[in-house]
Amino acid sequence: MADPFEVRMRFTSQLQHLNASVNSSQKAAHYALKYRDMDEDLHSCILEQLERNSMNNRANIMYFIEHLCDMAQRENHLDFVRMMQRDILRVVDAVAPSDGSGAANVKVVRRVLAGLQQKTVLLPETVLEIEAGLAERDDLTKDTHSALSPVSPNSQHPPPSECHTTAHPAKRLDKRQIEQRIEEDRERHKRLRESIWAVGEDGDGEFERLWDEASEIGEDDWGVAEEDSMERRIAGEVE
Amino acid sequence: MISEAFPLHGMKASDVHGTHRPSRPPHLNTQQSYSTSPQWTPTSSHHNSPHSGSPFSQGRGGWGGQQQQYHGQAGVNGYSPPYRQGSYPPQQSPQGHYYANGQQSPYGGSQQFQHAYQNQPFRGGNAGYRGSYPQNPDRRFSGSGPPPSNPNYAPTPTRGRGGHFQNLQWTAGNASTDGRGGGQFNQQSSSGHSQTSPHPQPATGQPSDDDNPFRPSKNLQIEDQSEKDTKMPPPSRQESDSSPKQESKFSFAFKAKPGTTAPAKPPTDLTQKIKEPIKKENLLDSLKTKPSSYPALGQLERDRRDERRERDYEDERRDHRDYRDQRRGDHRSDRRPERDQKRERARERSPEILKQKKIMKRMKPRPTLPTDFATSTSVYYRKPGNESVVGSGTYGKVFKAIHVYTKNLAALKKIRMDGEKDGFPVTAVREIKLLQSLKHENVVSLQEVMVEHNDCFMVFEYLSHDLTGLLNHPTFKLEHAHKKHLGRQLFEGLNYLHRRGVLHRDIKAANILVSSTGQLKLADFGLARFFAKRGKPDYTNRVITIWYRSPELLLGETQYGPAVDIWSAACVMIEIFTRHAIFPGDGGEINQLDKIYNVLGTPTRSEWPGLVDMAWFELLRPTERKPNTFSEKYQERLTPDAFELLQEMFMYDPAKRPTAGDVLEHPYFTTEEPAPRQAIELKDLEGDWHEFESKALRKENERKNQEARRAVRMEEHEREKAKRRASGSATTEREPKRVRPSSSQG
Repeated sequence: MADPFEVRMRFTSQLQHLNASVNSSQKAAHYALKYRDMDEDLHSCILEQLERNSMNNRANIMYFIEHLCDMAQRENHLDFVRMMQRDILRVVDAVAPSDGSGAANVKVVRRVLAGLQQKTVLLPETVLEIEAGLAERDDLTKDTHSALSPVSPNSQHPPPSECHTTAHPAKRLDKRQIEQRIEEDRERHKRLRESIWAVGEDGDGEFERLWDEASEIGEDDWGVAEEDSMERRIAGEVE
Repeated sequence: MISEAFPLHGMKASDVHGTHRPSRPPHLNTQQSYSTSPQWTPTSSHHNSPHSGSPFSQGRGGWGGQQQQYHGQAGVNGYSPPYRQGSYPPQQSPQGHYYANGQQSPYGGSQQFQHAYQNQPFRGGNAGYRGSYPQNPDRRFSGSGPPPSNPNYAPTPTRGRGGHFQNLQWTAGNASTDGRGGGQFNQQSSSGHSQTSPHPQPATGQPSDDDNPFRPSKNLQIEDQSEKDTKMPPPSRQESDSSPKQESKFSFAFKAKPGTTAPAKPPTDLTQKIKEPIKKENLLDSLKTKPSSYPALGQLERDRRDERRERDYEDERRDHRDYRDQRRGDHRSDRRPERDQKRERARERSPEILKQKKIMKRMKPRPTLPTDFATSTSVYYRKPGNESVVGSGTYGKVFKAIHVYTKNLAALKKIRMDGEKDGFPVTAVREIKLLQSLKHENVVSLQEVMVEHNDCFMVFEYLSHDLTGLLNHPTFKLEHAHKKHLGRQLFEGLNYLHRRGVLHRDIKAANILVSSTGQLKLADFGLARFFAKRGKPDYTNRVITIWYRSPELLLGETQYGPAVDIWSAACVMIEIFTRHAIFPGDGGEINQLDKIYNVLGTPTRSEWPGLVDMAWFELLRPTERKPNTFSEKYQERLTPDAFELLQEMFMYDPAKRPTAGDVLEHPYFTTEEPAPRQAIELKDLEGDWHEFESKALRKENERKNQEARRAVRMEEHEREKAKRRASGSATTEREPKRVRPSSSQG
């Protein structure tokens, strides 16, 4: 039996060092399930880290939660899922704080919530409720963002610095974090794209997809057809 | 003229060599011919041109006294061509043509013939043209000829062969000249330029110095050329005649065989002769040619040549089939009208002809490669070391290469294999597949993919410049009409790509190649992909060199379309106009967006509704509002329509940007003056100008500047020292030295 303190320390460290790769999330999820008898402890670890770390890290933990619930369901250890259901509001608040400092995470939250709903971790009602709250925050931040409103002739005066401080006190992340986040998002996107081409085994999935992607017949197709026919003609002459 | 030419031809009795070839040791004399031929230039090796003189000289040796010898030589020389054919296809063209004309070819040369033409359509084809002309009349001759003599041994066939062969040689020289005129290859100018008319003459004339038979061939040729243009008789008859002719050849050949010894003149003589053109005149006299006609002929010949050059130019791109057809047509046209005349002359001459069975042997120009090429391990010769590198990037390196046989330039893109754990990189496969599906004059064409020494190369046509290189050229300046023409080509290319469902995703000045005639081609499809014209795409946003990356990509959009290329192209247009990149960021997304905001102002939700939905909008949202300064910065530097067009292309909302097709319809391209004009002035630009070279140049300049600065500093330093020395005693000089340690301690 491992020392509970050590397990906690290690798990904490894993959460802190999560990155965008699926690998790191799964490793942490594995660890949590390996010590499932300490599930409550580990869950509190997650909440603790969510409220402590950088916004980038919170986003990563959010993605990790999805993996954890998924794996817990598969291994039939539903305690993790239950606790997550209970504390989801707290989690969302930590990842996308209402003060707008985590505005960049709102999209992450939405995506993960959708995933959790799909995996029946969360009820659709819960998700809708949370979405509504997020949308409210969204509107709030957008409206207060002066840089986005059209430039009117007399609008020179709200000095940039002022609107900056009033609207979002701790809004902008530092440059290094932004760049890190961009890279992490790209990495996640890459992983995502590895599987988006897959279609279900049943029937016409592939056909439907191609059909959807095919454009209307237009001038372009005419041009291509013309080229083809020219090639055929040339080929015929050569014979 | 004709009459004279003909008999002489007959004297050569060249028929024989056709049959003799196989049995003879082939290469005896060839070497000599090389050394003797002064015109030989390695660069043009596959055109027979430089050799035109050499065969004659060889023949001469034999001719003087011993016909038999001659004969033998013919055999020897005749032999060599087939061999050559095998190893150096491009040079074959005249020979191949020969067979193609309906004579039975013992070598089954048709395949090689094809090959030759493919590789080198221009010159090969040319040579073929000329070769064919003489041939036909001769054949006709044999068929219809009234000579009382044995039909099998009739001199006529002999003549035919000889004339033909000689003409081939002779024309080859012309052909090469023409080729050079066309400017298809970068030839070393030594022999090339001056050759147009004066050269071939001395070359053919000299040999005749010793032996008459050779000169006539030239005359004949001229005659033939002139004929060709005026008459158009049907070929049927000659065709039927050809087979008996060949029989006769056989018999001839065997007779001739025994006496073979092949003395050849030492090279020195030849060169001497060449230096003394006066002898030619004498020769002419001895030949009983009317000297007066000579100049006229020369003139004629020159004219023909010019004409032909033009035609060749037109034909340049046709495939070999076309050539063949045309040639056939030409024969036909040559024939009938002068037939009777010739027959008569032949009758007059026939006794003489019969007596002299001479075999004219003609050295086929030995295809040699310059040593560089010969030792090249690749068919695409590259200069050693880094000299041949014309581009380099994450994808690998691009080399400038020359095909050792065709002399065509090519750009070899080496596919980087190091660090590939999963075998051949899938990105390269994608690029190749894409390129193979594309064919447009403004898109670079992939000629082949080559594996060599465990490296894989993509072989492209070579273009001398790219836009970065051109725009950074120290002196060359584009005019407005040129800029518009380049711009139009850029969007023609893009329009094609987008219609074909291809996103380029790396449009930038360095990826836009410009030929030395001002033709523009999009290159580097390493990031390109097919896109779905409808539906929800999802692509990576780490594409396009960051200075040319559109705001939606910078803000993390993964569902994008052709509008990203339009943005990049707009950046390129600005560069064409101002020579400077419009958004030169520091390489990071944040700074890049700031650069864009600084010029175009911060985007508003009203002008770009989708802005707030961008994945990284919250991360990268502008902190302060900035006004649009685009008009202030660029209105004066652009024409009014150009300004308007660029403003449209620099829309924040990708949906509002015009398509490539729209851009081409814009008044800037359609109505505004000046009209686009191709930058043909580029042909006068010396050297190749790519980003690579211009970077090197910049580095070099920086280095020089630094050195200059250092020199100035040193000078100042020296001056100060000198001053100090001058002003002060030894103590002042020592003082600083003493001070320094103490200060460092302090």
